[in-house]
Amino acid sequence: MHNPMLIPTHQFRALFGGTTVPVLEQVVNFNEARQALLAGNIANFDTPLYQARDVDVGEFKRKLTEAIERKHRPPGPFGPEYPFENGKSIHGDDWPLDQPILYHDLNNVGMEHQVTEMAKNNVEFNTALSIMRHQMTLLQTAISERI
Amino acid sequence: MKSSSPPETFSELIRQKENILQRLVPISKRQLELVRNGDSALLLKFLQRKLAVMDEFEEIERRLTPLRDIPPEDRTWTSEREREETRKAIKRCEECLAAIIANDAMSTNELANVTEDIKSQLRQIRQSGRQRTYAIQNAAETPNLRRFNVDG
Repeated sequence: MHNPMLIPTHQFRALFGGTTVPVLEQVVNFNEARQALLAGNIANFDTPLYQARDVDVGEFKRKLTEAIERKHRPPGPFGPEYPFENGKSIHGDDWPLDQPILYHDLNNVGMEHQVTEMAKNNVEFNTALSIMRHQMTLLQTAISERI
Repeated sequence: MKSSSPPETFSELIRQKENILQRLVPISKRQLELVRNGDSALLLKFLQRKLAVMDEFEEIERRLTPLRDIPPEDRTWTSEREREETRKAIKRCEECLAAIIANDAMSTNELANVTEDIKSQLRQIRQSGRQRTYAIQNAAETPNLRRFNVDG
């Protein structure tokens, strides 16, 4: 049965199978999608029987690493643009197409936990931002030498 | 009057500065990747490591400071070739620095946007929390009022 909450298989395949879109863009897309999911969880906090959703970050990173490694290997008989055939990788390892990366947390992670995670992220990002701003100021004040 | 400071020092420091800046170029690219990756813990660890390179950069800048007071025409050079090489190294330093600052500016802007988004989401959560509390309090008070009205 089709579940509208799941990332469609063709999108999932395109995420890792396509070679024309830079890897970095895939990472950005993934993070945007995850952020939207988490925001959706919070927005639906009051919805009865709503189950929090998330994507498997570890699985994404693992598959991304594999995809990058595959790109560095010499192309096979079908070329790098056709890494899948009948839902399976032609590079040997079977792609779990029936296994979605989007999962519903059956334990339904509480709102408090999600907000705490978000607030923790924000503290860390703010710290990182302060360091980065300080370092950039140092670089900007570097004096050009005269000769 | 010629300066007493040896020109080798200036050339050597410029070479060291170039070396540090060349290392900072890929670091600034990686920083941008990490910001886009969204892993705050990893970004912090990375920035901690970057700090060591930034310290080296600061140290070089500090050592170059007294030499900057010497007018360029007063510098002595072992050869014209040495002077030309240093001139080229300075140009490469400027190019590296421009690339690093461009990447760092991008990282900083993107991270600032992320933190603003998170702040805004947390604000919304707080607001909806207050509304929920108000609604619960209101719901708890309403039956009493009705009873009061009916009885009254």
